[in-house]
Amino acid sequence: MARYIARRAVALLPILLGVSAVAFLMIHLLPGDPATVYVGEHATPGAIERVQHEFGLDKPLPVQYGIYLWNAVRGNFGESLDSHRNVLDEFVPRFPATIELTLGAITVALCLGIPIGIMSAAKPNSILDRFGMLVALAGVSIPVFWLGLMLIYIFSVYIHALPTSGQLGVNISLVPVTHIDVLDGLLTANWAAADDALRHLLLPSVTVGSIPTAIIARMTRASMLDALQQDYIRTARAKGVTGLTVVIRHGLRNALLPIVTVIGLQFGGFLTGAILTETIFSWPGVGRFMYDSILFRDYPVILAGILLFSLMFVLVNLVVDVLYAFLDPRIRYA
Amino acid sequence: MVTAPQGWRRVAISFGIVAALITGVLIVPGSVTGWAAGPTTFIWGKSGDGDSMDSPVSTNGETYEVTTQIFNLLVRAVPGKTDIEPDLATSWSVSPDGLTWTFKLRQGVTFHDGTPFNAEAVKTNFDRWAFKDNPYHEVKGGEYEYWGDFMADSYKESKVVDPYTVQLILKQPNSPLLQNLTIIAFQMTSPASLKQYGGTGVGTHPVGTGPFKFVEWVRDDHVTMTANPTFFRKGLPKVQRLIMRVIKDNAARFLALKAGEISAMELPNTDDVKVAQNDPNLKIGFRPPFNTSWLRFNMTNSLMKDPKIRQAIAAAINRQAIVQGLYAGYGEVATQHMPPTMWGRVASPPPITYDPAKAKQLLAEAGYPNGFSFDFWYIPVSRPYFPNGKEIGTAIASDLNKVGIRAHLQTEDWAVYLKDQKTTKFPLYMAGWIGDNGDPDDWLGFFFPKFDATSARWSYNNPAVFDLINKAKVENSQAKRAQMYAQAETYVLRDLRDIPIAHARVPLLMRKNVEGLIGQPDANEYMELVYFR
Repeated sequence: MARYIARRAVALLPILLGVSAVAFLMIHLLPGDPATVYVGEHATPGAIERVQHEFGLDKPLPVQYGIYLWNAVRGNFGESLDSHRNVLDEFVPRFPATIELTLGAITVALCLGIPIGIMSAAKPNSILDRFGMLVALAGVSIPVFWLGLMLIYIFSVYIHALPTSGQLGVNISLVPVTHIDVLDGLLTANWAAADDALRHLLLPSVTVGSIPTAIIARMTRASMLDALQQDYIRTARAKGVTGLTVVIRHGLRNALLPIVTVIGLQFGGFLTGAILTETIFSWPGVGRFMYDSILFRDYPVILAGILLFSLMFVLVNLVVDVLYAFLDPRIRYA
Repeated sequence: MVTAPQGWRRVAISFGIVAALITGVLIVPGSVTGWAAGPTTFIWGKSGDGDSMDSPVSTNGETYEVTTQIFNLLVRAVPGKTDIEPDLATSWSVSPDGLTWTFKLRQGVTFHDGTPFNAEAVKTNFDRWAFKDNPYHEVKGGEYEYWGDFMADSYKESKVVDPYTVQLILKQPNSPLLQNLTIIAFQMTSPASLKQYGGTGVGTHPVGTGPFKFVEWVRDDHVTMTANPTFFRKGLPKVQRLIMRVIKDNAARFLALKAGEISAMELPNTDDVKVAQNDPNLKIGFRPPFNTSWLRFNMTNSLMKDPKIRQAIAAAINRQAIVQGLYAGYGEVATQHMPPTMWGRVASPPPITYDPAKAKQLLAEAGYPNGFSFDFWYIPVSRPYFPNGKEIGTAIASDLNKVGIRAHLQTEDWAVYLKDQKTTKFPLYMAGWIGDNGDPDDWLGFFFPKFDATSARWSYNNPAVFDLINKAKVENSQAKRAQMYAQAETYVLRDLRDIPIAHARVPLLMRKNVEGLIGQPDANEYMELVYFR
């Protein structure tokens, strides 16, 4: 297993190299000049030239890419065109917020998606099934930005129970430990802060989690339906095992493999969902930062972000592959 | 033995409990005070975050909104206007040759770190901006752009005459100087803070003399400031704490205002302004119109260089209808480049009348009785002077189509658009300007500095205009300057170099109990005046 993980880890390098090359090329194929955006409407030709030179944008593309790679392997992803700060220094403080949101969204997706799928599969074509699939259909169909605004409208503007945006209330003070605010509130026994942070987390989590919830629900249903028709289920029922035990212990356990695969693949959905959701909810995470950077043509940030997201994506897929072995004892890696 | 129905009942009960818990969380207000705006805290909803807290090296309006609250200038704009009033300088004078400006400074003022404000502090700031060898000049990635644009050519040095008198010595007269100094890019920073944090460090450690002291800046989230108890304008600020929250999405920012999480906001969506008008908890204020939109011809284009074609296009566009229909009631038709808040305008600009019949006649006279086709470029972003570029562009194209001019609507990414307006790609395009200060040089000086045949933006060639603008820049008398700018603008309008479209007031939305929030033409409101009723 260790050898397998090591081999997969080494295989990440060409993947990341490929991603960086494609991303670098595509960004530079786009029309428009970051130097012009940087200097803005006041731009004079001299100022534009100065900025181009300062950021190396006047060099040939292969040279720019070579310099970029050389710096990147040494942990230097360049400077943001917007803030002039080191790109990593920009990403690091925003990362915990995105992790918090992703964990919240995964929790929502698993806690809603799997039970809905199980209930639908256990009673196929029942009202419960139809309702569950309607929820799933809505989840994939409703645009994330619209859902976010509607949730804000209902729960913040009308019910006044949840905040519209942000990660923590402006009147709350919290000693940072992990920078994941809910966790920090609990760790420092600051219950007011934990409560406030949880309330801030709820709506963005539901928004980001909506599409993955729907997909996981449908996948769980399909996978469970297949599993529940197997001989071993019939055998279990014949032996007198009750309905719920059959469904959970014999059905779900065997149906989990494809569900886990889908959850892994949905990780990309969490990240792209976060870009929109963090913008709507003013969540100070990596997603919103990426969105702003794309609008600003902040090339160093966009490139680092693409690499970072790609790295996370392939790592999650690696974790999913490893999980197979635990879920299905028949799978062995060498 | 547990039967199947009982098992499912258990699941249903579990779900019921979870649902009840979630509902409980949602309907119990809980820590709602954690995020709500309070009676002593004014929370301003910003549309973006600043790039630095050091205005001299920033041209970012989001930065300026914050630094206006922390810093002072020698002179500043009167609330709600572009006229000048004393700030850290109480009086000033200029020598007859226009080369020496003398400022008498306010006494007894200290920076937030306790450093006294005096002539030496003023000199420290000017030296920093002007001289590359100054130890605090170098700022990583920073450019002193406003200094470069407005002061660098004329500035020689500053002299401390006595502790509360400072002189700015110029190499050549710079008549807009006083008006330029009202830009927050010329903020007075504590010399001690420069020494402590360095030229780059003051970008995150702002120390000024202003009504609010800096507390924290959480990037992309908020800036917190607290009242400066020793602020020299007695009785101000009126609130204890000022928080500027970054909520970039206009709709989300509006919802935060409706929910009472922020006290006021800028740049609402047009539809949300209409909603706010009918909301008993909200009210609307305005920034005075300090912007202008226009259509700019590429005067070197074979079609557009014909005055009759330009006149035909101008006569074909129903500007009144566009302003009425697409500016949410906050626009007024522009008759010239500078908005009504400015001096140096033309008293009786030549009228541009909507007259489709006349447009057709002019087209026939120009040799195009059946019209012609061309690419018309609209801006891809929303600006105060063109709140919805596409709709306005479509309306213009539709008007042109009625007289036989087939305008193919085109646009491109904003970055590319900015670049291409300096080429000859656009035969006719939408452009505009938001003023930096109350001096006409900021308008006419920027848009008519020269002729460049390779740039649609500078394709107008009238040496008389350039001459007048250059002379006005070094003339001491404001009355004479006003005449020169008006004369230059008269030439520009007579030649129909551009078609002025509109000036727009910019709405600000606020909770009903907010008072004292006066919209500022340059968009940097003085929050020191704000209080809750």
